[in-house]
Amino acid sequence: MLVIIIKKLGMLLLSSIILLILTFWFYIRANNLGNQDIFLQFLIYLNRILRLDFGYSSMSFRPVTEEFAEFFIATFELCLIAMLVSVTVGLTMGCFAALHRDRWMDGAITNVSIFCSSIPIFWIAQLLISTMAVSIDWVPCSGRISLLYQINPKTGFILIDTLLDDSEYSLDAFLNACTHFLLPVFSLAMLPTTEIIRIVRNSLYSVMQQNYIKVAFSRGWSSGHIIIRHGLKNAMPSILGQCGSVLFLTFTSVIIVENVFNWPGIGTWIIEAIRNSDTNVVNAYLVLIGFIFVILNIFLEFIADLSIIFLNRYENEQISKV
Amino acid sequence: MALLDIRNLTVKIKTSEGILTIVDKVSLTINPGKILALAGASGSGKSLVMQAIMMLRRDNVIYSADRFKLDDKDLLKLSSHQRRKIIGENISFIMQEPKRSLDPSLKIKTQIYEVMPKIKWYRFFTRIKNLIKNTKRQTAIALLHRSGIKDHSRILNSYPSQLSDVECQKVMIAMAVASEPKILLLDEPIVNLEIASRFQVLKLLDKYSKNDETSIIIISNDIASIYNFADEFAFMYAGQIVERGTREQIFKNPRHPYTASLIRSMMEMNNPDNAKKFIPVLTGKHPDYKHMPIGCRFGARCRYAKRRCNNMPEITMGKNSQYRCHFPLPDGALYSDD
Repeated sequence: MLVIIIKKLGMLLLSSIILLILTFWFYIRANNLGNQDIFLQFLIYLNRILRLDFGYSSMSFRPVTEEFAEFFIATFELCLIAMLVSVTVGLTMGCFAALHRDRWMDGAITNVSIFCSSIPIFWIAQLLISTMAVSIDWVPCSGRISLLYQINPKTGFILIDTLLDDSEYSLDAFLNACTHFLLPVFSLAMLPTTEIIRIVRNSLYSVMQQNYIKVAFSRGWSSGHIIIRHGLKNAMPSILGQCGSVLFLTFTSVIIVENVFNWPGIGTWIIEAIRNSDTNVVNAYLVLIGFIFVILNIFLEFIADLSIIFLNRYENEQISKV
Repeated sequence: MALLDIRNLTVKIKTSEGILTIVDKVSLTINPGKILALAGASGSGKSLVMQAIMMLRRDNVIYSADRFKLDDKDLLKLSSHQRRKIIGENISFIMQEPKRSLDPSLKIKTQIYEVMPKIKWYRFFTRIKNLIKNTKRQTAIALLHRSGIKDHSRILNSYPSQLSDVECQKVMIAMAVASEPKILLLDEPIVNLEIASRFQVLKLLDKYSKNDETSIIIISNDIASIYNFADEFAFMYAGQIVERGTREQIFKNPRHPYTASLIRSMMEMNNPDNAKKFIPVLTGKHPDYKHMPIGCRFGARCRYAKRRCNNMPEITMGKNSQYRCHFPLPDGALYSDD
């Protein structure tokens, strides 16, 4: 247990040092500080980062950190809902595929997921806009909420804010925000879903070959009971260990999705900053998103290792020896 | 009245080179309280017969049978869901490796509670009585005690990897009898255990069979150790049952040459006078399932084979046994030195 924590902390330290050096190099190049004392500049840079002070944006003349928090919540909300959708859909589909391996159900799920994973996101997003939003006009095509509704930001989460708003149209605004979520969530959730289906199918199938699953089937229990209680529980360590790639996929594709759907989040913000060569914003983006991704990834691995210890007693002794 | 009555069970396996028939027209009947041993070389389809009885679903296997009756219920007429439920209630299955048959992520306690029969809602008063007198834990402890485990509190609170093989096998037996099955299927239950604990496990199974009238079908290669345990023996060779009969009949007057050779090698092993003597073993090898001989499947290795053995022998019903041979050995052939 202690060994795992120390190992994960060491990984965190190492990757954050590499991240700091890379962003520091960018900071020096951007601000033309190459001829000054590098070490002193690094200390100053470190001091600024620890105080979360990234200067002012040259686009809006507001503090970068304040703007980041504002945009990040919109992105976070989108990512959270997309992850929820992809985990639910991916887990169920993966379970079905593993249970009916090498039959038509498995073939259908696998082929559809391969097809979906090879569609480019920007293309499917534009296709969705041109069909669902423009041609048949079922859902709005851009933004978080219709401009008709005036919502005061309290938490930053649009779905919560519309419900908390005390105007008489708050419920209408909530439904309107929900329809705005449909297309972005669909196009963002597509790739992670296929990834989760692949991971769950493979890990669960190797567990379903074990003797205790066969014995459980011989007791006449239902497949749902066996999958949830004996299958998924034992497959969880290996599923969680591979989930880092899912996070990575979501983090990269959210930039594209936000730009296509004009979502006021981190993705549109950073693309706008690059276009205007706003170096402070780009630097803040690199440091903060890099740290968030590193911490999330290491946290996931930590959870996976812990679940091996608590769930899977076979590997217990091996882990503590490492 | 037979408890389990299977007629002409056939198991086929789909491979890349076409469909292979592994188990060919095996008929089994078992009466309540009897112990039937299935013996034979590895690869003769013993385990497949077991899995066919359990109807364990596997994607590339096709099961078919002319008759499949369990306790006078024709299981072939039911849907697969109902069939699995009836089989799960009436038959328990114990596999080869006891440690791998227990879920590694759950405590023994949880797994035993899971297999204990659910109390039906209309037995409300029994349920209250049970709550006062006999809790779930007490039932589990009683089950473990009957299976020969003394330190129940340690066993209940540990994970399968913390127990030894024998303890795991005893827990498996306790779990198998928890649902009060009519038939126990055992697939090589003693093969990985120490010699001392083999006897213990067999004695325990024998006790269940005698006390609860549980029928047992046991698979084993080790005829010597189950000799005193089983009432009836069935010998399989290349997917067919070549001889079947009571213990006295088979070990006194085996009819089929394959059975005779197995029994003879077992006897020569146990005889101290023969320690340095040459033990006659079968020459040749088990036929390949892709190229089965058209005649008697044992023909290529048989010492007594003649021209007639090119035709497949039918099952002949003897007095206490059934055998599949054109030229059955006469009485006392086992002891004659030829």
